[in-house]
Amino acid sequence: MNNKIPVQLRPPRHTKYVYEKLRICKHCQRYTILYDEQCPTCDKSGGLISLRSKAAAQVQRSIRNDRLIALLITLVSIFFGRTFQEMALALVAGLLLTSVLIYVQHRIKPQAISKELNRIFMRDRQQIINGLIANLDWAAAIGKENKALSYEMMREIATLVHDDSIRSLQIMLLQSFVLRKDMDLELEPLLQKRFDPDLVEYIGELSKIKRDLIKDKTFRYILKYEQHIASMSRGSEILSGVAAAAVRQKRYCLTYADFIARYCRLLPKERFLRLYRVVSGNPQDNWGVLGEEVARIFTEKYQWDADFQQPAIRSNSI
Amino acid sequence: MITYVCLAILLLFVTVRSFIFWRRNKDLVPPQELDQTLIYQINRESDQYEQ
Repeated sequence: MNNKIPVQLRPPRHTKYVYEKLRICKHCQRYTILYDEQCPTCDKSGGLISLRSKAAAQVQRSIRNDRLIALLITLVSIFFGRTFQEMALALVAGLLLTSVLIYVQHRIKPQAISKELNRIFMRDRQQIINGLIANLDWAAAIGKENKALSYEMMREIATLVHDDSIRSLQIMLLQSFVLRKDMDLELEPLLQKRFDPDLVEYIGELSKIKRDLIKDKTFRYILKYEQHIASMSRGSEILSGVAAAAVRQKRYCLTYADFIARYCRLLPKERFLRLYRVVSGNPQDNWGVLGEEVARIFTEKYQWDADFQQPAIRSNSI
Repeated sequence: MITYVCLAILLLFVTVRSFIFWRRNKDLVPPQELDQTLIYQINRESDQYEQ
């Protein structure tokens, strides 16, 4: 594609847990996963709070009410005391019992917050989904003016919504960018159940600029749809690119030996040299067809090549 | 007399509320489980969802 645009993508927002990305607006009570300071629905700033804060506030409210009731009963018992001794007893007993309540609540508060979070996820399911749909609509609308921002928004939404249609939209946007090695790209979260030619083209591009993103799940996807890919216009180029990515680890060479054997003739010299060194350096492993094919290509093309005569520099992954 | 009744009510209230609070929240839900719950709730109707 010639009309690709150069973009600068912001790195994804990393949180330890996915649910920490979700926030709720204090004003309109709408959920959002986007990282703006303003609420995307009501446009008010400073109103977005994390769900943990919301759960903590709800637990705190319940705790505060209990404490107030306990103190109120203490005050009533003091008020109705007939002698000073009764009033003092009521004060001491009331404070003691309230302290017991405060102690128990304080000890169990973290558990109560996590339970409340769990309840929010189940109770507010539909509101959360509605918020994510609104986020997605907004991301799609922004895509007409700012594709990079649209992609970043969809990347955030896709951390929670596991759906092939969002993945397809992300890939379409990625395919409109000039991809560079320094970009924060991802692959495995974009893999789909169905065959997607855009995804395959994207994998083909990654095999040139970021082959370390191509791992087991991607190899399995490529193997599953190998025939479909082979029938694409750039099919063999993409398949040989993926085979070149597999060559970077001995484990991949062994696991996908048959696949690599089918495309190792198309590998560039540098990748074939890597494969040759992996195979010839580990004669104890069963390379099967791959071993025969590597030996055949070596004899045909590289037997007299000086690079193939030099000893290998040891490396686990190249 | 009312003072003692109030203190008895307070004792009962503290006992019951502490027990209920403890009973409802005795186990911590691990964050990983919270993630799973949220993702399940959002994607449970999708045929593409894998547990």
